[in-house]
Amino acid sequence: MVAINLTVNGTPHHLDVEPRWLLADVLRENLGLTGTHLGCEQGVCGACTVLLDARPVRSCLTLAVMADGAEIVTVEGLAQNGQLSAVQNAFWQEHALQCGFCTPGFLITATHFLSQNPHPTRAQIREALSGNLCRCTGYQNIVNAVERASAAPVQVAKAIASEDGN
Amino acid sequence: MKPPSFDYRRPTSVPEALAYLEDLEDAKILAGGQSLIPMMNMRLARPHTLIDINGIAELKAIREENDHIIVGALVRHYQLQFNRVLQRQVPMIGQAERLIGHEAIRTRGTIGGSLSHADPQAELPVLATLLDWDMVVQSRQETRSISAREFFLSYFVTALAPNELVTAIVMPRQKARGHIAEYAIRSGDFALAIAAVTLSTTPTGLVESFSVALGGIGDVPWRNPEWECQWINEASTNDLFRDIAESITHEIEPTDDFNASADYRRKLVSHLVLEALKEIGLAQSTDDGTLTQRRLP
Amino acid sequence: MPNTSTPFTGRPIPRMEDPHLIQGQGTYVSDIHFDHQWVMALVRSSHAHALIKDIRCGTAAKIPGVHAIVTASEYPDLKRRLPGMEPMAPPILAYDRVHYVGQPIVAILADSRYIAEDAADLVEIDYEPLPAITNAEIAARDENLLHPEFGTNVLEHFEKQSGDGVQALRTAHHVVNATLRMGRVSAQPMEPRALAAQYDPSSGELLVYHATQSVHRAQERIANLWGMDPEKVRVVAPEVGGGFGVKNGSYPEEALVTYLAKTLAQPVKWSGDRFEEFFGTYQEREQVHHVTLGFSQEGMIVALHDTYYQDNGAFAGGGMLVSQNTARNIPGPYRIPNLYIEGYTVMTNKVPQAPYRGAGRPQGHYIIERMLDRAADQLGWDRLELKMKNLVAPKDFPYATGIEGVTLDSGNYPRVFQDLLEELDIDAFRMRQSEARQQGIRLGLGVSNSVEISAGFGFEGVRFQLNPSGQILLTTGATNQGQGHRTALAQLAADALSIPMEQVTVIEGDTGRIARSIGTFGSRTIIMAGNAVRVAAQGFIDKTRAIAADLLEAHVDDVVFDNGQFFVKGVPSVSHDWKALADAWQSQSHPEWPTHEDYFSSSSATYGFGSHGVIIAVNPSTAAVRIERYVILHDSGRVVNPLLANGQVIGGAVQGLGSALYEEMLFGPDGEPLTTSFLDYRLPGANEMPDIEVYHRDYPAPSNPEGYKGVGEAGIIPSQAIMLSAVEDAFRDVGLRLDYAPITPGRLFKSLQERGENA
Repeated sequence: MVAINLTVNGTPHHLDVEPRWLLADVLRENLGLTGTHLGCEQGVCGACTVLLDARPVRSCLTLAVMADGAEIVTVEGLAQNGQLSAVQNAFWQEHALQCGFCTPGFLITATHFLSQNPHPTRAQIREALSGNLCRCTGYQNIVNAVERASAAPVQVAKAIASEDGN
Repeated sequence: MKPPSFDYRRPTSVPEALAYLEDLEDAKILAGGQSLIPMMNMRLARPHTLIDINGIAELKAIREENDHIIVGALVRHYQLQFNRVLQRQVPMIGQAERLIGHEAIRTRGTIGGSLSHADPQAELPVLATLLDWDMVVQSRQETRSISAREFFLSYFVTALAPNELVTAIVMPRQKARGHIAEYAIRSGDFALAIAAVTLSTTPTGLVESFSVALGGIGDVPWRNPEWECQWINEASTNDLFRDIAESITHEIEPTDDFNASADYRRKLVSHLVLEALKEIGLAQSTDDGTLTQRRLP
Repeated sequence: MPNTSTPFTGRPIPRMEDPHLIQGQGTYVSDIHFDHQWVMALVRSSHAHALIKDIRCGTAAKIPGVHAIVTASEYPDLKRRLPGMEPMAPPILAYDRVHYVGQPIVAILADSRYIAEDAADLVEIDYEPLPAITNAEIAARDENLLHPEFGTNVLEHFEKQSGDGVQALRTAHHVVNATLRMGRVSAQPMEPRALAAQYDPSSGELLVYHATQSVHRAQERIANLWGMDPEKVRVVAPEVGGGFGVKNGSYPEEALVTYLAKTLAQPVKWSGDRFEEFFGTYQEREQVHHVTLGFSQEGMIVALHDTYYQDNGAFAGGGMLVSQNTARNIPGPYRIPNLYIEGYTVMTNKVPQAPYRGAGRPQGHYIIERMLDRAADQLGWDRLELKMKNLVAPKDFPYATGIEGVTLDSGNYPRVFQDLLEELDIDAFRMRQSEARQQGIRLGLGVSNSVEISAGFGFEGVRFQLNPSGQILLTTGATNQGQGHRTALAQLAADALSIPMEQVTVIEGDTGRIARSIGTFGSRTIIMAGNAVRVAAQGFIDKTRAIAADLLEAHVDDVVFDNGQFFVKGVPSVSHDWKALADAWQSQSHPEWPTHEDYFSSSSATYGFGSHGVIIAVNPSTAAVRIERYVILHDSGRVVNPLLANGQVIGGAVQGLGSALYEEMLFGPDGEPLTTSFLDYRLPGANEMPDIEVYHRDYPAPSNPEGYKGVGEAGIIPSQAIMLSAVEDAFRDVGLRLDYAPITPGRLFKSLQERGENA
């Protein structure tokens, strides 16, 4: 076992871990932070994305020992003082999640992206989200949510025109 | 899946890392882990020992020395992308980094790791081959330099001996304008074909220097300097570019697999080479001429 | 009875589920831990077809932290066949033969998944390989039998006829033939399958947390398999991370986890990984059709013949339903007076088939749409006109399609299709397409019309309960995997009971909370549970009027409920709301709270409709297809929540575009899977997919009181057909014909090469 120090969502932890334990598993099992999800353990789906020293990483491709001394932010750390973040609230309002399994990874990715690109175009948003897979939403509402959170004007009308059939 | 057990060492200096490499059985270097850990998660790679070099500060530096830039093996993809020195001196790296994986992969993956992993579908090995990078390689006994042409031997196989570690990459200052183009079915996927090109012209519009490296089509990046020579002193026009793009398809024997046939890869290569040449031509014609004024030695 | 205004139903209200989920507080099976649980990993077959000669687990058992190594020879109960998979089910654990790569052979129980996999590594199995059968048409010849005891590789062979099915082709003026194929597809929900079970020997109760789409069906399977009273089996679906049909099936892992938890009196957890989603989760779509379509001189369809083979994998799975449903969906919204359909559901050495979103609708739809395109091209007609003239019109309703039980009943297909064509502005597109072709740019247009047949069987239940402070608890057996039931049903309940939505709590997916359910799949929940809400609300109000009567000191017959208030008829000034009733009830110290449970059942299907249009650009150098515009005109029936409805349509459309452009499960000649990770099996990502425009043309369903129609599968139905249609249109001048989906860049390149078209 190796002794490591992790600060997670502002709280320091001292842990003994096996070198082979993935950061995702340590967060989920040792620290009970199950918001970070494992979708592939290959680094492709992005559901496990967390912030490590302010940058997104795949926690399924990071051994916990490699995160020794790092500051980690997980989805549980996005809301502050009981207040949802702008990104979280935007996901809620825009119906940007259905089953919710991929959502933590998207929230982390989007939060980081907007911190670096406060006024992105829709195309830039899609590019930035291209490393996270969703099987339920088809991405459109997620793009809408990121756009909303960036406070940029919505460029494409979400065309919902109703006509009564009778 | 979960990785198998391994012994773990975390050296704080290069000599310590090399000692571990030498003395411990079946030891592998752990840098970014973005290629190694997925393979370990699938239990396809089962090293007895992992030597975690992420704490070795001297491997993280970027410095200029005469006409070269020396990049520490542990420099991460995202750092390569945003480093000012590299943006000025080896601008193709920035182009390539935009194509590499996704943000999270670029946070951790390293240049030393990418080159040592030697995936022919990856961008940095192609750049190394194109731009004649040298890998500074150390073992406990010696330090040596391996040119890119001699470094990549086959799929995931390099000229590194089991007790050797890439510690730095020596890059000549990029003297010709370049462009890297690739085709992947989805953005961020491993590319079915990669073309990296440099081209410079004389003030009268003749080709002064030209090189091409290809990735994704075989077991190592492809380059043929003899074939490159024939285009020197030709008029640098779109017609020439088309000729080059056609000619290169006869030089290669691309892989045939369920992702893409050999013919399809040939067509992709032709298209990507042409696209890269045109991009360079376009950039040249709108440019203040910074790169074209540099002379070859 | 309430109220003519509908404050909640029909509004795009953000979901009540979300605050939990966006803070990472959702609990999925993999998040659940029993004290002292043992974690399961499986050793799976590495051969598609082989005899098992020997299994050696000795070294594996010695690893510290390993608690049990389970084989069918040591636990003979595991030789039993999986339930619900007649006529050909596998044993729970294979012991003498294996029939597909991925079939489970040994189960390991250990302290952690890490350790269990260490043990799995050390298990040695000796196989004697047998020839693998990987082609359904060849398998159907029965030259090599997968299961000699079954006597044939054909699980089912059926024929469906209507009109003068066999003979009518002879009267056709024009006849078009084609052989059409669809590749194998895998649902790949983001959450892999998982189960965790705990048995209490003293009470004999088994608690199962299950990522399933139907808690009661799972309960029934488990109880029957292990000879338990269903009342002693409690199945709870926590948050489920996507289902798409494949979490509805009968799987070896379900049998194993429940058996081991009970037999060893030990909590057992299996949290599948992505690897296992590729090797163990049922797949779908793979079929080959030989089709003939006959027309009158004026281009009206006269007859359709289709003989098809479904590559069903090694066991029944849920594939026979898919095959039958394919036939049901071939006519779609078109008038086909004479039909002859012959289906063979055939076993091969691959993962079994089971329904995946669409469940036969996409397959059936693919056939008629592709044949209409082919006929138009071959006979010199306009594709759009040919489709328009053959659509069932409103005057034809109710229209019996010729398939038993499929009678189209509502909507206006020609009008909606016309609206689509206007929205796309066909003339302007054709001009643009022609100009673009001068520049060497290839644009293409595809359109399709599809019917979504939903429900038409079974029931769903709702129970209302009054709780302290006037909270209303709504319990249903529907089992969500992201559909938003807790919001939609709350909207309906809030309207039925005239209370704010916040006063309603919806509980679903728990056999311990409601006695019966069918589950959530096949786009049925709003239809069934939605109607059940109305029925149960009425009964609940009737019951609680008695409490109100007590409070009002009146006879119950004199008490009315209107707009959230109970009062004596004619004296609305003295009234009580739900909170007052709750307070009164509380003060009287009753042992139980007022409750009413009711069910809605229906054997009438609903028929949604969609006209989809896509405009693409094909890169001539890479053969890559880029979607410029995707438009959907959609009949969702009566919509409870447009946000949710559109989310389903768009999500389904994107998922379908994956199987149209990228997704294909490939197997080698020995039956070994070639696409075993997200690197090879390419799900569409945010950068590949367009913004999809959804316009509603909603016609209430006549077949259920509330007028709901299913919407969960609508988006995915036309994807493959429409993309092939558009790509052919982009290469109309070279006469490109595409008979296989997906149309990946490599396949398109090859097709063009065969046409000599590769500048």
